[in-house]
Amino acid sequence: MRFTFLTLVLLLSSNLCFAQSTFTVSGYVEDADSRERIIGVNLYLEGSTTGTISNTFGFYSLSLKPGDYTIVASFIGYKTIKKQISIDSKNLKLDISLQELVEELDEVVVTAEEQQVERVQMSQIQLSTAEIKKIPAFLGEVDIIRAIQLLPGVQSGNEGTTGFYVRGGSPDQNLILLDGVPVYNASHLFGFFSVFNADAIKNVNLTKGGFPARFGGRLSSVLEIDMKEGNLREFQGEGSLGLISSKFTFEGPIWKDRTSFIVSGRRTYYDILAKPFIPEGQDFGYYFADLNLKLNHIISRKDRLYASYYNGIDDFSFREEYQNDPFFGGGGEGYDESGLNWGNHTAALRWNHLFNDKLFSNLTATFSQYKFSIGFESYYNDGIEESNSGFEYFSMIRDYGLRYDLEYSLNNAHKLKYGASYTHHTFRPGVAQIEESFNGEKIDSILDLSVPVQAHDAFIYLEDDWRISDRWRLNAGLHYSMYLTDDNAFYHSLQPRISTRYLFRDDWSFKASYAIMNQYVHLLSNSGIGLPTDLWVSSTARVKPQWSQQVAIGSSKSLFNNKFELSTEAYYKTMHNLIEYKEGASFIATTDWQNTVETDGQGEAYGFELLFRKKKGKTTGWIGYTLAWSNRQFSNLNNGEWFPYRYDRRHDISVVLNHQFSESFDIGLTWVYGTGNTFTAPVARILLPGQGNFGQVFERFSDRNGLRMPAYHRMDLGFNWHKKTSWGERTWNISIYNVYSRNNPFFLYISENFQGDKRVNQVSLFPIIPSISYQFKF
Amino acid sequence: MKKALVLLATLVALSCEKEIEYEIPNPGDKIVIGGNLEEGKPVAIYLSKSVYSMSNDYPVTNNTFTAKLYTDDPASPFTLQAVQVNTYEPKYEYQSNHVIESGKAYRLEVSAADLPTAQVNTSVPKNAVVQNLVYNSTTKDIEFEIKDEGKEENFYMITLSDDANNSVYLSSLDLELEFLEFDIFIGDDDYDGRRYGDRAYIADQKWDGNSRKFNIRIEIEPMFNRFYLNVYSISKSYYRHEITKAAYYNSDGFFSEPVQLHSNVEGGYGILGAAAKNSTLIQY
Repeated sequence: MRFTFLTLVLLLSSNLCFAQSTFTVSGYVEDADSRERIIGVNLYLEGSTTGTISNTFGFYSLSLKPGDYTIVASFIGYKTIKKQISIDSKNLKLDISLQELVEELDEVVVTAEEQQVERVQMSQIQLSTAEIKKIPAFLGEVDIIRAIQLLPGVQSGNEGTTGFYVRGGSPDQNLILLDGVPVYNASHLFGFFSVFNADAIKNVNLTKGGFPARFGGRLSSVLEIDMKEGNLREFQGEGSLGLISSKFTFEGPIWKDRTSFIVSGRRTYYDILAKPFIPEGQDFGYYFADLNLKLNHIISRKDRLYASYYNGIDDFSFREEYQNDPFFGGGGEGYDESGLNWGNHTAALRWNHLFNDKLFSNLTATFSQYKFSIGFESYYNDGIEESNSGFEYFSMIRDYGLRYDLEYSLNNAHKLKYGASYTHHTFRPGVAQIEESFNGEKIDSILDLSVPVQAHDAFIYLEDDWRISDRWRLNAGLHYSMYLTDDNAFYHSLQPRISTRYLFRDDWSFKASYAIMNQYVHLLSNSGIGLPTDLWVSSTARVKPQWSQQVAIGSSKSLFNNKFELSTEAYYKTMHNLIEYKEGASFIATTDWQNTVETDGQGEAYGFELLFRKKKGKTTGWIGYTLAWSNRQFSNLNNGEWFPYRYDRRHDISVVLNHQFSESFDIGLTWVYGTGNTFTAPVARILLPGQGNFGQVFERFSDRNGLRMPAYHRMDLGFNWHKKTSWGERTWNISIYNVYSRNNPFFLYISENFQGDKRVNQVSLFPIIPSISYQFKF
Repeated sequence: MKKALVLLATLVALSCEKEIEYEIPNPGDKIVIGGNLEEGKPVAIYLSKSVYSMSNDYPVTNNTFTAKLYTDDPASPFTLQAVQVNTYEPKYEYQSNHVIESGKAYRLEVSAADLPTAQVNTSVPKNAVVQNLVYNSTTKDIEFEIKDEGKEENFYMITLSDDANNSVYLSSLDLELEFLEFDIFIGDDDYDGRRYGDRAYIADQKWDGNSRKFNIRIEIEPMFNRFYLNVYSISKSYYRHEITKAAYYNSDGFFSEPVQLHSNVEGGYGILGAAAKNSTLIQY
């Protein structure tokens, strides 16, 4: 099926190539110094609306009739360049190198990528690493997900955590792609840090709605994170020393202008610092670490290979040794050891191939694995008896995938994207491994508490970016997906996607979109705080896939000579077949997970978003505002009545500002405000016959998520002092998290004193937290 | 600088936990009904008044409620009388001599001064059909079938009891049986997935309208040389209440959503369940 489809599209593409009546200007856009390809560069003909943007691999293609043109290429942080071209009787290959702006403060020169006004794609925001690094850091650690949380339509969960909730959806409905590979758990340290090391990242792109047909598999958002490729010309390094972690990135050519590498590592050192203070015979520690690797090889102008790998780990461990323990009769020795760890492995191998000036392809092979494990081991030996017992509980999801994407620039009116994808999933949502030995006799047993599931997940898509007229653009497509599990559950879904843009004036556009999305994987979470214990599970014969419909309308306007952009959007989304733990269910279930969930959930989310953004000049940043509702309904929860979603938040405001006072000093500020999170609390106590017919007092709770915590607000500040040195550049950063030390609620609970008086207590996590870090670059 | 550090330390110390002014909404006191209408038995239920969660009071039963049971019997409604049955809570039980019949609909209305009237509508299910029972006295396994009525949701509770009506523990490898009291799992020496309890529940969702085979094992020797297999046909509300009550007991607290006990009482709280029992005598 897949082969037939690919053959068809290739034949179609080839035939279309011969039908050309215009000529093609195509090429790659790259950084002039590092030769790293640049994503999202705006390329247009001066004095016209004809243009395009470079794709994920820096490739662009424009169809032009014979004549003389000036092509303009612009991207934020780079000098805009103009090239005179002349098209006569053949296609033109034009690779463009953009020179990075270094400490350039001239307001006129700094320009942006394609303006929101011009894009047909709505509900999408691109952030560069440079922008993210200007946002004040928490404990000195620049975090991509924290930056994402500051965008309208995106909500943070609990205080300090890096889970994100897009347009009323849950965290599992966000597809996080690192170089095209799904990352299943993007959190370190129970969600306080994300797994993405900003030094290794080139670009971040978030799509909240109006999904193009090439995206699938999640209901609420797609977060594309692209790793840097590595400098093809010279060796470079950068790093930072912070209070809790340090990181170092090194990149450079293996074969100049042909092959490059980048390696980046990060590690916390609480465990190392605490070691001297841990009593003898005990060992306790926690750390997290990340490793990013990428190789980039140019085979020819038409072929390029990328290989990337990511590994992240969190590890808690505790070990206690004892000798002559009186509990064992005073003799012998032994130890108790327990641990908790989780982590992701992702790998991608990508092959870019340019069939001709109009047809670009990318083949990606992917691997992704997330594993959570908790275990303990006990050993004892007194010379007569030797015993050892161990227990491990783990859950795991593992994917192998292959994806082929093609882009065909039929002409300036039609740009086609089509492709196919196949992923093989292995789900092992709960496995207990028990090992016991006594005087050399061993008993091992492995028990799948939930049935392991193997699943085949495939889709094909076709989309057309159609410039109907100078003012009207349309992106329409179809996404067809299929899912087959080894318990013979088969699901398939045809998902139409459409987005359109109409330009009222050159600086003001109206946009609308509609998308059906389908999701075959679910995340079982009973805390909502991003614990590693959350289980990824498959759709099965009993548990159907989630699906959603989303409609959005919006407007984008450029203001004051494109210095400012104002975007507004309203959306309405329905979600079906949502799952949720049954009331009181636990993550370590003694039965198959399918017995512990409610499977008939519905959801609705609607709201209004406003983004006022300034990308040019000494002062940059944005103000975002979201007015939103998000509700759920399950027949066995809350008496079957609709209830607010856990992170239903009526108002959400974020202010993000950066001002560059001079070449050597800049200040970043963020201020966030959010309506308090929902919670459920006891409102009454009742007496009912309990066990043995004795009267027992039970708590009667409010409606599910029927109460609100106090509002959340916080201001962060970041100060950066930069200095050029003989070896490169160094930056001192001082960040202050929660400047006015607001006690934001993490959770509320009712306490009781000895007299039986009851009070509401609020637990907050983070008061004012200043931090300092030292960053260097050479 | 020193002042700044003192200020910072003070802010940090004050920031972890504090008492706040927060008004938990008071739903007002309501009537609480607790009991089960069981086929072949007279009515006996508990009535009490709820208290606000932030008050210092404790909920107690009392004898001031007016309770009437309505059904299609010509003598209906039956007024329930408060009888003191214990010196501890629940102190008062509301009783009637009317014997509950399977397949019948009942409505209980309870009123009291200064409280909203509470009422419950419930139907007593028909008796379960149990067939092909085989008891293996060596392995202590009991195999039997329940023949399910189609076109309607049915819920069952399975127990074992002896002549003195004492519960006898049972176990099963059947993953669809829900043991709500307790499970034995990790730490069990020869764990084979078997779960234990004094009752097991099951809904007929997957075998609606068909017969389903069950295999349970008697775990504790009964006090007499014979015992009973009891298959109760129970109302959906009773099933939901039992499920949520078990979840309430087993809840992980902070790491899971609070459990709301299922209630079928309009204008009040609690449960009026309904059940019909099919008992089969087995020689041990």
